[in-house]
Amino acid sequence: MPKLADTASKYIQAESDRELAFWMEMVLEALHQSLRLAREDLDSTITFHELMKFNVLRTVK
Amino acid sequence: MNLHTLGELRAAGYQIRSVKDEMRANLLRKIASGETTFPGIHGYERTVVPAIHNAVLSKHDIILLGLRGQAKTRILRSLTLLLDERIPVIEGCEINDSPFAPICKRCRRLAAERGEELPIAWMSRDERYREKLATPDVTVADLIGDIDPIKAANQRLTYADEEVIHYGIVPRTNRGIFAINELPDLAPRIQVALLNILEERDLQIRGFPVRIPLDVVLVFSANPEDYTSRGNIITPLKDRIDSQILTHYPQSVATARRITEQEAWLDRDEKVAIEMPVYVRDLVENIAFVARGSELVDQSSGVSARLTIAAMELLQSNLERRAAITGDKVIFPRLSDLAMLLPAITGKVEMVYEGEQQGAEVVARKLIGEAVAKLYATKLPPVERAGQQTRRTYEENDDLDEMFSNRRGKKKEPPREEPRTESKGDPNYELILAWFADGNKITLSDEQPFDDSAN
Repeated sequence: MPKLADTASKYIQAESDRELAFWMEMVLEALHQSLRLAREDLDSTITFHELMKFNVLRTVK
Repeated sequence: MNLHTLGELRAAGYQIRSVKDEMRANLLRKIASGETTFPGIHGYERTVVPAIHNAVLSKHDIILLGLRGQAKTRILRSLTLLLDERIPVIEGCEINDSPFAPICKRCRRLAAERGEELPIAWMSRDERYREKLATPDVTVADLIGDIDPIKAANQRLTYADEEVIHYGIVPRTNRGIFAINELPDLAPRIQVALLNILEERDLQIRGFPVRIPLDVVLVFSANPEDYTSRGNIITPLKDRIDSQILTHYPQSVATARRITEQEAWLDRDEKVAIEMPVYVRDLVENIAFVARGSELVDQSSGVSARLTIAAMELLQSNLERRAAITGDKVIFPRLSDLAMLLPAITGKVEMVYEGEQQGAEVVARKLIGEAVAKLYATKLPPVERAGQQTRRTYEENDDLDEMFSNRRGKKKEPPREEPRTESKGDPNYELILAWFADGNKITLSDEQPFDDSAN
């Protein structure tokens, strides 16, 4: 995904790739909590989708 | 101590003092030397601890009043540290009589018979602390004592003989500290039995013509929630407990983290390196802080410190589990790990009606979400919420106020002074969203190896 790692590393001085990955997840979560990205929790997996399409498809289901 | 008889004790110049005098003197000494009086208790340094110090210095009986998980019981148990390491008692005495002033019939007789050869034993401070959880089946006989018919028959004594008494737990804690946990759960008629001990310092058994002057410090713990849901403390008893000290939850995340680190089982002999940065620990603490301010949570029940202790243990276990599944040698927490904290939250958070309607799991996920938001807000620039731009444009173009400046009697407000920015947040956010708009999606699992997850 373009720019996700760049965005995280811009604000976080990550000491490892694992830490950077954590903050990349945080960027996605921030977008989700600001109602810009859909998040689906299934069992212990989390899937991030485009918001509008996800909501429309969910309604169709 | 190598003193074994009353004579030796007297020759050594040993002075007997009451429990409250002993605690007071030891406390003053500890305060003066800068010693910690309640080790392992954090966040009470300027509130609860000074209040307890003052109560002990005033020779008060104490009740700690606070919500669940506020270290009330631990504080009560720590009071033993204010006792002398060992004190002399008459050997074999059921109620720990002082060798200098025996009060039970057996010891009075023994003292008369043996004189200066009266045998003594040394009692440690831990043996001098007794605790009773107030359960509904507690009786006056358990606490104070009763007549023991078997003893009377075996020793061929009449009921009029003082020696047929079977002492309860309070007289057996004579010259020590007696604690009752969850006091409101004690039936009111049983609480009445404590009145005389608190005020007159003596006990009466079955109308027996015996008055035993007790030297005991009574301490209690109670949860204010119990006042309404389970029981009550009778008012004359409350009146007789000299100091009522209110406990509280940690006021800062750092203090809460310190408590969790101390109490949670995190120092494990795992074969993998677990990287747990401070901000993730704080995130877990923030779940409790968020819950303590949530409208969905019943605040009168409180949110125990046990929530974050259990949550940290579960988080670490989930990291260990992932390492075992994936074979990763270094493990770092992930967002998906937080879903595994639900078992630590759902049972420990009581909800109000609205929360019950939503369900425990939904509320727990919301609490985690709010705690996560607190974390990313410290590092990442805010994201403009969906619809915010549109709303602002609409407000700009809305000339209704201008056309009807006097509508609803309102005067036209001056234009907003705050400087306008083009777009909040980072420009990269839009590029990331565009990638998703192309139909892409990302699935993250707590069981993925790191290399898969990173790709």
